[in-house]
Amino acid sequence: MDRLKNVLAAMLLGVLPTGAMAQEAAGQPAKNPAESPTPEAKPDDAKRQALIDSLRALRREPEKVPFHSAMCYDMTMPPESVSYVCEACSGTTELSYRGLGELSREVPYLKRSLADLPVNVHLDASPLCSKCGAGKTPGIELTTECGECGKSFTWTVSTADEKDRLRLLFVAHPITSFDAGPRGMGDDGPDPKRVIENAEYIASRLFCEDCRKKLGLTGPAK
Amino acid sequence: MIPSVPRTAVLELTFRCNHRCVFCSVPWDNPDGRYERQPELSASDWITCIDTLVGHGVTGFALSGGEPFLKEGFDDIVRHLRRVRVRKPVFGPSGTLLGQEEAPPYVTLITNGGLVTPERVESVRELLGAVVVSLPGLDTYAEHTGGGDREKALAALRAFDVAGVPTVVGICVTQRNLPELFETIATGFLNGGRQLLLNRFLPGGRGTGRQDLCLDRSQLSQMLRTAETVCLEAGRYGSIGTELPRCLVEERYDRLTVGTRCAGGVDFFAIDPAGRVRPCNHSPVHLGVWHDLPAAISTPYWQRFQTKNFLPSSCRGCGHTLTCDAGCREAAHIASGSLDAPDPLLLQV
Repeated sequence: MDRLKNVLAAMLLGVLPTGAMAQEAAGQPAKNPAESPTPEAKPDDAKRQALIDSLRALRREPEKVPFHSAMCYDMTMPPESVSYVCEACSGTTELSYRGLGELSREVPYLKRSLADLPVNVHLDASPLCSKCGAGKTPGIELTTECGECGKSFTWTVSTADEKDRLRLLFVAHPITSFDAGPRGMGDDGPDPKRVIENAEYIASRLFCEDCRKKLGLTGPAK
Repeated sequence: MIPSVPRTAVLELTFRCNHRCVFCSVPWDNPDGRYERQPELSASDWITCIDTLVGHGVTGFALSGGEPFLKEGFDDIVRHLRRVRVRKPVFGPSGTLLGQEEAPPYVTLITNGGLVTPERVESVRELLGAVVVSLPGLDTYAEHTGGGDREKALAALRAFDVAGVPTVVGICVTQRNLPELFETIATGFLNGGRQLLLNRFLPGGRGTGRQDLCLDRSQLSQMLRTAETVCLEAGRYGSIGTELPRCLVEERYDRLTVGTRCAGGVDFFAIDPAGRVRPCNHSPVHLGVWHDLPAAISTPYWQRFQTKNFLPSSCRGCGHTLTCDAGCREAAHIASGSLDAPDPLLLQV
């Protein structure tokens, strides 16, 4: 835990090791094809070039073809809705995929991964249930036992942006890099401001407010 | 508890196929013979099955096989799908459920294209949201398909494209066709393919034991880079049809969707020609029959997909467990005997 605190503090001071910054966008864009050798260059370069010219003539504004199939990935055609089955009451709630439905898909992933965090975090998905979640902010409720004092505090993940940031909590400790994922986190590269924002996010989910102040884990950027 | 039913059903309409693809993953073609072929559902059975699935909340169908055009009564099934209306929830701007509306199902056809005729295109044109035509190579096409004719596949792409059906070029990538992947994708696009679907070869079905066809890590990277390059040149998008272990995806791709999570048993499931259900088309085991789908989904095996309880022990504590299912779980099952075994890619030194 001390190492985690120290690394977070260093990040918030903007002194993240160079290597870590460089890896924030671990998924760097693939090289421009014009600059990189064709992976499996064939002897008949002229033939290949003719093919490329034909493809370029074909080029148009890309379209995406949505289709169902037996596919196992970020789908080209996600469902419009998700039936969320509540563990508490067994009731089913229809959720729009573009919102809480997509969020509900995080529940099993979080359940299997929370034990990997360096502090205790407990999950309550009942706010996703139309019956059990009445009166609560719709989303996934998480309760952290502060990594310093043990005091519990609760926070809710209710938007796609918050969902995407959750993975920041699961980087291996001590933190030496932020993993951008297959799609990266944007095109602005290793932005020190964002590194600090990310560090502050991690600190805010693992330590209570009082301890963050005490430990110097609050940064200038929100 | 009522299990959550995936929204998409892959209907493997028939065992019959005009090709003998070396990479075909259907379990009934596994040389070990443990997945028994039983009498096929009739077209009438499939129609009843479709209605039952719609009642369970299924909204999309992928018609597969075997080769779906070989199914007796295929036209009857198509006609029924054109009449069917699925129930789709309607949500307000804030995500509040307002009610339900009826809509046509979304239907995708998966074909090798060898039996496509103008009449068949016309018969399915209005039904289909998309068609995936398999093109596993150019010079290696016959070798991969057991004697198929690549020109027929290309003609099918052109015919569907001209008919206005969104076309997807489906390529199973093996060690044998990787060297001509650039040309294969390009030729697919130049013949009307609007999008790319790549699948890395996985052990299973007829390909069980064909380690010589599996890509290694460096070939996987080569596959991804090649596909990205062609898609950029042609102004097209592509996707990788089998999830990859996150630790092996080293680059970011602008035109390729590279997934690291498994949707088997959650977003889709498969029904074999005899009506037996599996969480994934790669699954080597069936868990029940279509008319008792909830029971099949409730089995511990299927629930491992829904609860994501199938990570290899070697992946525990990895920083990617929130976003990665460690590759294909069924390929791991087939290659190593259990759902929580390492993906075959991770077994390579």
